[in-house]
Amino acid sequence: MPPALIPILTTIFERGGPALLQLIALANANGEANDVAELNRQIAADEVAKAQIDREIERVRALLAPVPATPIEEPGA
Amino acid sequence: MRIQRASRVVGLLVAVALAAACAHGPKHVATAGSAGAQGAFLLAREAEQRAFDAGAITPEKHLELLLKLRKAFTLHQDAAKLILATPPKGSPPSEYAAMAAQALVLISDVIDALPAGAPKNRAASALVKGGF
Repeated sequence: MPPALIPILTTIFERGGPALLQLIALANANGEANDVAELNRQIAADEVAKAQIDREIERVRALLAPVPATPIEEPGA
Repeated sequence: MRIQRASRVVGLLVAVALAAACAHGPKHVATAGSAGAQGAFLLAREAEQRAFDAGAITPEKHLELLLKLRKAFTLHQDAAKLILATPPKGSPPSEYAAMAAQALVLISDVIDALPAGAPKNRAASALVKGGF
């Protein structure tokens, strides 16, 4: 690195460094908030999928259930 | 004096690089992977229902696959709750990996049982791309 650049870079980082670190901290906080929102969305979507599957399971079980035997009436009885 | 300044610059650069690297921690990676897996689960569920509605699967097989799908969604939901409880930038606990693996096996079973075609291919490809 050319020696002349060092004082310039130092000034930039001394003034801009803390602001940049604050920006990164803010981005991290946003990242966490986004993760939390995304996970809550996923948990809710799983709940919806489970409820739909439960309804379908009930429907198929009803399809598979044996038809109750009805007494056959003898003609003329 | 010059060395002191140079080391300060290097120190700041390292701090910035570390902070940037921490922005995408294991929790964030697990969240993204879980979203990909859920997409594959939903596609598998849709493909399975279509196959049954088209008469390609017997009601008995449909019921068996529905029970597997339900278990997979329950495991996915429990795994998502574990990620949610993980501190920012932390790693989800070890049970998470076992749950994710079990859910992926169940969904693979469902996809394997589907008749060949575009819905099956979409679900299989989403499962490969996604994953926890």
